[in-house]
Amino acid sequence: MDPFVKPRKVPPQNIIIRLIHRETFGYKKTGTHFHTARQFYQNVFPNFTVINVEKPPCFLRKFSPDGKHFIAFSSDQTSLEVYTYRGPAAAGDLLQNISINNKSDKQNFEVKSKIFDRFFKLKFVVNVSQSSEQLNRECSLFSDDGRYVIIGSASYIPDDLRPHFYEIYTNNESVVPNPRSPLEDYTLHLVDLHLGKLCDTRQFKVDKIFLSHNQGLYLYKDTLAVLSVQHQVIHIFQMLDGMFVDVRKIGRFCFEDDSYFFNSVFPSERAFKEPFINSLKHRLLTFLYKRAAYISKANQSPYELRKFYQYFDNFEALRLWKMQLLDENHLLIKYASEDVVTLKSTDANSQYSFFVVYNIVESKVLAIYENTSKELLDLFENFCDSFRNASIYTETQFTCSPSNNLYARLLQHRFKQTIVSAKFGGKTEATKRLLAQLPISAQSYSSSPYLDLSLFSYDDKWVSVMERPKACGEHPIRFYARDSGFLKFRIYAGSSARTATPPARRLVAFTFHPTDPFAISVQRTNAEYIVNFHIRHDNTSLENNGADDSNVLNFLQRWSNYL
Amino acid sequence: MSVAEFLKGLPSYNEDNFSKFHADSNSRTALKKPSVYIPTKDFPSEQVIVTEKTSILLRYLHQHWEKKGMQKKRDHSSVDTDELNQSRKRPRVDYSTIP
Repeated sequence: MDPFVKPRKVPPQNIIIRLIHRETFGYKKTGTHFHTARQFYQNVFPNFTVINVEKPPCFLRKFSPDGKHFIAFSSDQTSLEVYTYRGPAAAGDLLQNISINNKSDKQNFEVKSKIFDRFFKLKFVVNVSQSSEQLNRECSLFSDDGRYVIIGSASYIPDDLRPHFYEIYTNNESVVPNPRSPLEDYTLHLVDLHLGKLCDTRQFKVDKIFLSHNQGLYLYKDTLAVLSVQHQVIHIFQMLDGMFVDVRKIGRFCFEDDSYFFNSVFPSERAFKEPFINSLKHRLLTFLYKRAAYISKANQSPYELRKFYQYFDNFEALRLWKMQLLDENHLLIKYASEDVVTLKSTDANSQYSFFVVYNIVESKVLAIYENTSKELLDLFENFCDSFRNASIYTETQFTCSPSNNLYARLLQHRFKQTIVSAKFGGKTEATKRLLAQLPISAQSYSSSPYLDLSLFSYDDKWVSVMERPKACGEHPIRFYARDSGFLKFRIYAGSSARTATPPARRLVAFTFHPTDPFAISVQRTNAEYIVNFHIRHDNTSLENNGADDSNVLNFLQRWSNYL
Repeated sequence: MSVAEFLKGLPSYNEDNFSKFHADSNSRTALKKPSVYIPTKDFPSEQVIVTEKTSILLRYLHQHWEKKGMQKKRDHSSVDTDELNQSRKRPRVDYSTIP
């Protein structure tokens, strides 16, 4: 070995030494106190998996941002079930005499049947929708304080109650519905988790709103934006004391008084038959025209302006596809062709699309980018947290992203390089693939420290900060400490039974607690769901007396409060 | 030694561990009080550091937009002055008058 190359010194892993270090030195650099505190998660982690937990007949959804509540949907998808989370050591006594080598079926059965009730206590069952409407299992938005949750339901429109033509086509931008993705009646429900009551609802009749993974609705602080794809309108609401307050609709008109002014001139005009370009589209076209005119004037060549006129019909045919709030006053809107928006086109990412940054209050377009724009990709890579709105909930709960984490940036860079060097790849294709993530759905990233890439190294093929179902691997997911490289813990998401389903077809969804060493994995195998709990369990030797064991558990429970 | 004894008294809140600590208790310098500068005049701080409410992304986009707007205005004004001095368009030659 080269005498000049010193092996990297592994920092102390012992929790006692780390506590002494923290007490003596505190944090070494200004602004790193959160990171110093989070380092202790490398000592307290979910090291024990309870496979195939017996749960009530419901669909598990997620934890509230403060981690105190857990929500689930009833099996008939008409009610919201609110559970109180009892802490990471809630099942300590149940697991007290369990050892890893223990094969007692009776004891295992007892743990599996009782453990759900130890961790979660049913607080409320809030009936929100009628039997005809079903709650979307992948739609929920929590308010900043964790008090309210917005959930969405949808119901198919029966054939015998076919809607009127002018209910489907409410304006001249309305899209032609796709039979493969039929129109539905939607309702958004605002539920108070503290009181367990339904506070307010908003209905959207004969519409198409993408509820899954919160794609069609976005909550920023107390501002809620809902995108109606069918009617090409963005509804803006404000959440005020448990109520939805209508603020404005953006689409056909941009200002609140536009409708009044327009109707005073054209009182009996059918909106669908209007020859005019709708207000939001007009802003977009004006911006593109001015840009083309400016470039043409600067270059003293009419090329850019001619190009604008050449593609004018394509621009006019663009439709609202997705959107997100960048803050209370700014929207990031994604436009695409009607075939993409109505899900007629299967390969949406290969089609052209445009990103528009729109100021709601001033009703002006700030920027327009194509889905091949290098400038937008640079913005996305450098200001990723601004797109995710990562820091609006609490300073201590932050998700790792390419703009705040070296390792996440490296992963993204590798992903980009893979596409660039692929067979039909290239820089443009890589840009398209990365920008396909925009706009980012609200509250779709986990703030769990166990998924923080600066603390742990893991294969993001099997689990990642983005809360989406992943392919289920045959082997446990290994988590290595970033500072030492030591294997800290494994998470085994598979079921104990060998199923006929190939592993590639099996999907697993992870739900991590925002702060505690607790995670739930739900694996779908054919029609049944297998729920596993990944928990902290200190398997102290049974030779010690019970007092010592409880002392360790109490210490850990006390310690978890400081994290 | 049991686990309970090993973990006893952690973390430490005993202030005697810190307040009565001296680097060198024998030396005379430890007894001397160090001279401290006490300002008599109150100077208002020249810079007040505040956290910007808008995100860095939106600041960038707004600045970009304003910069473009300024450039357009500048271009318009330069075009106007050009037109005053001399027309950018050349007069079309009327070929019908040429024999």
